[in-house]
Amino acid sequence: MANAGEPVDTIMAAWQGFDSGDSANLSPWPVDVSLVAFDSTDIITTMADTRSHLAQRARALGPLTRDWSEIMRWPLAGGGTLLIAAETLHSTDARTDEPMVRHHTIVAAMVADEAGQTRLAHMTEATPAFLPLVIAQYKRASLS
Amino acid sequence: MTASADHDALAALIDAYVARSAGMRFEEKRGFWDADEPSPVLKPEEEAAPLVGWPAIEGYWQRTRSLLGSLQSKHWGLHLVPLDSDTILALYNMIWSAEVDGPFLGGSPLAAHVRVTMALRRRPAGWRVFAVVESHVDGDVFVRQLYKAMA
Repeated sequence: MANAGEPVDTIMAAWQGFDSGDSANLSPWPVDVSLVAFDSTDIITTMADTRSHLAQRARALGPLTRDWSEIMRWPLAGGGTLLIAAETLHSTDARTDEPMVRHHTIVAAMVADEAGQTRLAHMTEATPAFLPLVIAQYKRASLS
Repeated sequence: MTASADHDALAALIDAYVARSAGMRFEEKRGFWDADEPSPVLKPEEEAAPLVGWPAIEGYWQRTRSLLGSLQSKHWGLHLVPLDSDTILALYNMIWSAEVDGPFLGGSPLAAHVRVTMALRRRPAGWRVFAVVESHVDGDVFVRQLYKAMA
Protein backbone atom coordinates (compact mmCIF):
# COMPACT_ATOMS: atom_id res chain seq x y z
CA MET A 1 0.00 0.00 0.00
CA ALA A 2 1.42 3.37 -0.96
CA ASN A 3 1.25 6.65 0.92
CA ALA A 4 1.39 5.22 4.42
CA GLY A 5 4.12 4.82 6.99
CA GLU A 6 6.03 7.57 8.70
CA PRO A 7 5.58 11.19 7.61
CA VAL A 8 8.17 12.57 5.25
CA ASP A 9 9.18 15.22 7.80
CA THR A 10 10.10 12.51 10.33
CA ILE A 11 12.35 10.79 7.82
CA MET A 12 13.98 14.03 6.73
CA ALA A 13 14.59 14.98 10.36
CA ALA A 14 16.35 11.65 10.93
CA TRP A 15 18.56 12.20 7.90
CA GLN A 16 19.36 15.78 8.83
CA GLY A 17 20.18 14.67 12.37
CA PHE A 18 22.55 12.06 11.03
CA ASP A 19 23.97 14.43 8.46
CA SER A 20 24.70 17.05 11.12
CA GLY A 21 26.34 14.53 13.44
CA ASP A 22 23.60 14.52 16.07
CA SER A 23 24.61 11.51 18.14
CA ALA A 24 21.10 11.11 19.54
CA ASN A 25 20.08 9.81 16.14
CA LEU A 26 22.96 7.42 15.84
CA SER A 27 23.02 4.99 18.73
CA PRO A 28 22.09 2.23 19.02
CA TRP A 29 21.91 1.74 15.27
CA PRO A 30 20.19 -1.49 14.25
CA VAL A 31 21.81 -1.85 10.85
CA ASP A 32 24.73 -0.49 8.93
CA VAL A 33 23.77 2.66 7.09
CA SER A 34 24.28 2.59 3.34
CA LEU A 35 24.53 5.69 1.18
CA VAL A 36 24.41 6.43 -2.53
CA ALA A 37 25.68 9.99 -2.40
CA PHE A 38 25.30 12.65 -5.07
CA ASP A 39 28.95 13.61 -4.63
CA SER A 40 30.51 10.16 -4.81
CA THR A 41 30.88 7.47 -7.47
CA ASP A 42 30.90 4.69 -4.88
CA ILE A 43 28.12 2.83 -3.12
CA ILE A 44 28.90 3.38 0.55
CA THR A 45 27.89 0.37 2.60
CA THR A 46 29.06 0.89 6.17
CA MET A 47 28.25 3.33 8.94
CA ALA A 48 31.92 4.30 9.25
CA ASP A 49 32.30 5.08 5.56
CA THR A 50 28.98 6.96 5.52
CA ARG A 51 30.12 9.12 8.42
CA SER A 52 33.49 9.68 6.76
CA HIS A 53 31.85 10.74 3.51
CA LEU A 54 29.48 13.15 5.23
CA ALA A 55 32.36 14.65 7.20
CA GLN A 56 34.23 15.19 3.94
CA ARG A 57 31.12 16.82 2.46
CA ALA A 58 30.82 19.09 5.49
CA ARG A 59 34.30 20.44 4.74
CA ALA A 60 33.45 21.06 1.09
CA LEU A 61 30.03 22.65 1.55
CA GLY A 62 28.41 25.18 3.82
CA PRO A 63 25.26 24.47 5.83
CA LEU A 64 22.70 22.35 3.99
CA THR A 65 19.03 23.20 3.63
CA ARG A 66 16.71 20.53 2.28
CA ASP A 67 13.22 20.67 0.87
CA TRP A 68 11.50 17.33 0.23
CA SER A 69 8.35 16.65 -1.73
CA GLU A 70 6.97 13.15 -1.31
CA ILE A 71 6.53 11.05 -4.44
CA MET A 72 5.76 7.62 -2.95
CA ARG A 73 5.85 6.03 0.47
CA TRP A 74 5.52 2.36 1.40
CA PRO A 75 5.09 1.14 4.99
CA LEU A 76 7.39 -1.64 6.18
CA ALA A 77 6.74 -4.34 8.74
CA GLY A 78 7.43 -3.21 12.30
CA GLY A 79 6.79 0.46 11.58
CA GLY A 80 9.52 1.32 9.10
CA THR A 81 9.04 3.23 5.87
CA LEU A 82 10.47 3.30 2.37
CA LEU A 83 10.22 6.76 0.86
CA ILE A 84 10.85 8.21 -2.60
CA ALA A 85 10.89 12.00 -2.65
CA ALA A 86 12.08 14.93 -4.73
CA GLU A 87 14.77 16.93 -2.96
CA THR A 88 16.01 20.46 -3.52
CA LEU A 89 19.28 20.92 -1.70
CA HIS A 90 20.65 24.40 -1.02
CA SER A 91 24.17 25.04 0.20
CA THR A 92 27.31 26.97 -0.61
CA ASP A 93 30.77 26.10 -1.86
CA ALA A 94 32.89 26.30 1.30
CA ARG A 95 35.87 27.67 -0.63
CA THR A 96 34.12 30.43 -2.54
CA ASP A 97 30.86 30.89 -0.62
CA GLU A 98 29.01 30.70 -3.94
CA PRO A 99 25.47 29.36 -3.62
CA MET A 100 24.72 25.83 -4.77
CA VAL A 101 21.40 24.23 -5.63
CA ARG A 102 20.97 20.54 -6.47
CA HIS A 103 17.88 18.55 -7.39
CA HIS A 104 17.83 14.91 -6.34
CA THR A 105 15.48 11.97 -6.16
CA ILE A 106 15.66 10.60 -2.64
CA VAL A 107 15.27 6.95 -1.68
CA ALA A 108 15.20 6.82 2.12
CA ALA A 109 14.55 3.77 4.27
CA MET A 110 13.70 3.77 7.95
CA VAL A 111 13.71 0.35 9.61
CA ALA A 112 12.40 -0.67 13.01
CA ASP A 113 14.73 -2.04 15.67
CA GLU A 114 13.73 -4.71 18.22
CA ALA A 115 12.21 -2.05 20.47
CA GLY A 116 10.09 -0.77 17.61
CA GLN A 117 12.04 2.45 17.22
CA THR A 118 12.69 3.37 13.62
CA ARG A 119 16.07 4.52 12.43
CA LEU A 120 17.57 5.48 9.12
CA ALA A 121 19.00 2.49 7.25
CA HIS A 122 19.61 3.80 3.74
CA MET A 123 19.80 7.00 1.75
CA THR A 124 20.09 7.47 -2.02
CA GLU A 125 20.60 10.99 -3.35
CA ALA A 126 20.00 10.23 -7.02
CA THR A 127 21.35 12.84 -9.39
CA PRO A 128 20.20 13.27 -12.99
CA ALA A 129 22.72 12.54 -15.71
CA PHE A 130 24.96 15.43 -16.65
CA LEU A 131 24.73 15.23 -20.45
CA PRO A 132 20.95 15.76 -20.88
CA LEU A 133 21.17 18.80 -18.59
CA VAL A 134 23.98 20.26 -20.69
CA ILE A 135 22.09 19.61 -23.91
CA ALA A 136 18.90 21.17 -22.51
CA GLN A 137 20.84 24.23 -21.33
CA TYR A 138 22.57 24.50 -24.69
CA LYS A 139 19.26 24.36 -26.54
CA ARG A 140 17.74 27.02 -24.26
CA ALA A 141 20.78 29.24 -24.80
CA SER A 142 20.49 28.78 -28.56
CA LEU A 143 16.90 29.97 -28.47
CA SER A 144 17.53 33.03 -26.30
CA MET B 1 14.51 -18.98 3.12
CA THR B 2 17.99 -18.22 4.46
CA ALA B 3 19.84 -14.96 3.94
CA SER B 4 22.31 -16.78 1.72
CA ALA B 5 19.51 -18.25 -0.38
CA ASP B 6 17.92 -14.80 -0.66
CA HIS B 7 21.24 -13.35 -1.77
CA ASP B 8 21.67 -16.03 -4.43
CA ALA B 9 18.11 -15.60 -5.67
CA LEU B 10 18.40 -11.82 -5.84
CA ALA B 11 21.80 -11.96 -7.54
CA ALA B 12 20.37 -14.30 -10.19
CA LEU B 13 17.32 -12.08 -10.65
CA ILE B 14 19.44 -8.96 -11.15
CA ASP B 15 21.77 -10.79 -13.54
CA ALA B 16 18.76 -11.75 -15.63
CA TYR B 17 17.15 -8.31 -15.39
CA VAL B 18 20.25 -6.39 -16.47
CA ALA B 19 20.97 -8.89 -19.26
CA ARG B 20 17.66 -7.94 -20.85
CA SER B 21 19.01 -4.49 -21.68
CA ALA B 22 20.63 -6.21 -24.67
CA GLY B 23 18.07 -6.07 -27.43
CA MET B 24 16.05 -3.62 -25.29
CA ARG B 25 13.75 -6.42 -24.14
CA PHE B 26 11.69 -4.14 -21.96
CA GLU B 27 8.54 -6.23 -22.10
CA GLU B 28 10.58 -9.08 -20.59
CA LYS B 29 11.89 -6.69 -17.93
CA ARG B 30 8.33 -5.91 -16.91
CA GLY B 31 7.94 -9.58 -15.98
CA PHE B 32 10.43 -9.03 -13.13
CA TRP B 33 8.22 -6.34 -11.58
CA ASP B 34 5.49 -6.85 -8.98
CA ALA B 35 2.24 -7.07 -10.94
CA ASP B 36 0.31 -6.20 -7.76
CA GLU B 37 2.12 -2.88 -7.15
CA PRO B 38 -0.31 -0.08 -8.05
CA SER B 39 2.39 2.60 -8.31
CA PRO B 40 5.67 1.21 -9.65
CA VAL B 41 8.45 3.80 -9.81
CA LEU B 42 11.30 4.01 -12.34
CA LYS B 43 13.84 6.85 -12.25
CA PRO B 44 16.18 6.57 -15.24
CA GLU B 45 19.31 8.67 -14.85
CA GLU B 46 18.50 10.86 -17.85
CA GLU B 47 15.01 11.73 -16.61
CA ALA B 48 14.60 14.77 -14.36
CA ALA B 49 11.83 13.18 -12.29
CA PRO B 50 10.71 9.64 -11.44
CA LEU B 51 8.21 7.90 -13.69
CA VAL B 52 5.27 6.61 -11.65
CA GLY B 53 2.87 3.99 -13.04
CA TRP B 54 3.02 1.68 -16.05
CA PRO B 55 1.85 4.18 -18.71
CA ALA B 56 4.79 6.48 -17.83
CA ILE B 57 7.31 3.62 -17.60
CA GLU B 58 6.23 1.93 -20.82
CA GLY B 59 6.17 5.29 -22.61
CA TYR B 60 9.77 5.83 -21.54
CA TRP B 61 10.78 2.36 -22.72
CA GLN B 62 9.11 3.04 -26.07
CA ARG B 63 11.00 6.34 -26.45
CA THR B 64 14.24 4.62 -25.52
CA ARG B 65 13.71 1.94 -28.12
CA SER B 66 13.09 4.58 -30.82
CA LEU B 67 16.13 6.67 -29.79
CA LEU B 68 18.79 3.98 -29.41
CA GLY B 69 20.33 1.78 -32.06
CA SER B 70 21.61 -0.66 -29.45
CA LEU B 71 21.97 -0.98 -25.69
CA GLN B 72 24.19 -3.14 -23.48
CA SER B 73 24.52 -3.08 -19.69
CA LYS B 74 26.78 -4.77 -17.20
CA HIS B 75 26.65 -4.62 -13.43
CA TRP B 76 28.76 -5.41 -10.37
CA GLY B 77 29.09 -4.90 -6.63
CA LEU B 78 25.67 -6.06 -5.41
CA HIS B 79 24.90 -4.96 -1.84
CA LEU B 80 21.65 -5.91 -0.13
CA VAL B 81 19.88 -3.85 2.54
CA PRO B 82 17.07 -5.83 4.25
CA LEU B 83 14.23 -3.51 5.28
CA ASP B 84 11.90 -6.13 6.73
CA SER B 85 11.40 -9.87 6.26
CA ASP B 86 9.83 -9.41 2.81
CA THR B 87 11.28 -6.14 1.52
CA ILE B 88 14.85 -5.45 0.46
CA LEU B 89 16.95 -2.83 -1.30
CA ALA B 90 19.46 -4.07 -3.86
CA LEU B 91 22.26 -1.58 -4.55
CA TYR B 92 24.59 -2.17 -7.49
CA ASN B 93 26.79 -0.43 -10.00
CA MET B 94 25.89 -0.51 -13.68
CA ILE B 95 27.54 0.69 -16.87
CA TRP B 96 25.31 1.07 -19.89
CA SER B 97 26.67 1.42 -23.39
CA ALA B 98 24.43 2.60 -26.20
CA GLU B 99 24.46 3.70 -29.80
CA VAL B 100 22.26 6.76 -30.08
CA ASP B 101 20.47 7.53 -33.33
CA GLY B 102 20.37 11.09 -34.65
CA PRO B 103 22.89 13.82 -35.51
CA PHE B 104 23.56 15.31 -32.07
CA LEU B 105 24.96 12.27 -30.29
CA GLY B 106 24.99 9.70 -33.07
CA GLY B 107 28.03 8.18 -34.69
CA SER B 108 29.83 6.55 -31.81
CA PRO B 109 28.78 4.60 -28.72
CA LEU B 110 28.17 6.37 -25.42
CA ALA B 111 28.49 4.88 -21.97
CA ALA B 112 27.88 5.96 -18.39
CA HIS B 113 28.25 4.60 -14.88
CA VAL B 114 25.18 4.72 -12.67
CA ARG B 115 24.42 3.39 -9.23
CA VAL B 116 21.12 1.57 -9.03
CA THR B 117 18.81 1.45 -6.02
CA MET B 118 16.27 -1.32 -6.63
CA ALA B 119 13.41 -2.08 -4.20
CA LEU B 120 12.02 -5.61 -4.19
CA ARG B 121 9.42 -7.49 -2.20
CA ARG B 122 8.97 -11.20 -1.66
CA ARG B 123 6.02 -12.74 -3.46
CA PRO B 124 4.91 -16.40 -3.59
CA ALA B 125 6.61 -16.72 -6.99
CA GLY B 126 9.82 -15.09 -5.74
CA TRP B 127 11.27 -11.58 -5.42
CA ARG B 128 9.61 -8.89 -7.50
CA VAL B 129 10.75 -5.32 -8.27
CA PHE B 130 8.56 -2.34 -7.35
CA ALA B 131 10.95 0.62 -7.68
CA VAL B 132 14.23 1.35 -9.50
CA VAL B 133 16.19 4.59 -9.10
CA GLU B 134 19.37 5.24 -11.11
CA SER B 135 21.87 7.82 -9.88
CA HIS B 136 24.59 9.51 -11.87
CA VAL B 137 27.31 11.40 -10.07
CA ASP B 138 26.77 15.14 -9.65
CA GLY B 139 27.82 17.31 -12.60
CA ASP B 140 30.65 19.28 -11.03
CA VAL B 141 32.06 16.13 -9.39
CA PHE B 142 31.86 14.42 -12.77
CA VAL B 143 33.79 17.22 -14.49
CA ARG B 144 36.46 17.21 -11.75
CA GLN B 145 36.85 13.47 -12.28
CA LEU B 146 37.38 14.05 -16.01
CA TYR B 147 40.12 16.58 -15.30
CA LYS B 148 41.82 14.17 -12.89
CA ALA B 149 41.52 11.31 -15.39
CA MET B 150 43.40 13.39 -17.98
CA ALA B 151 46.32 14.11 -15.65
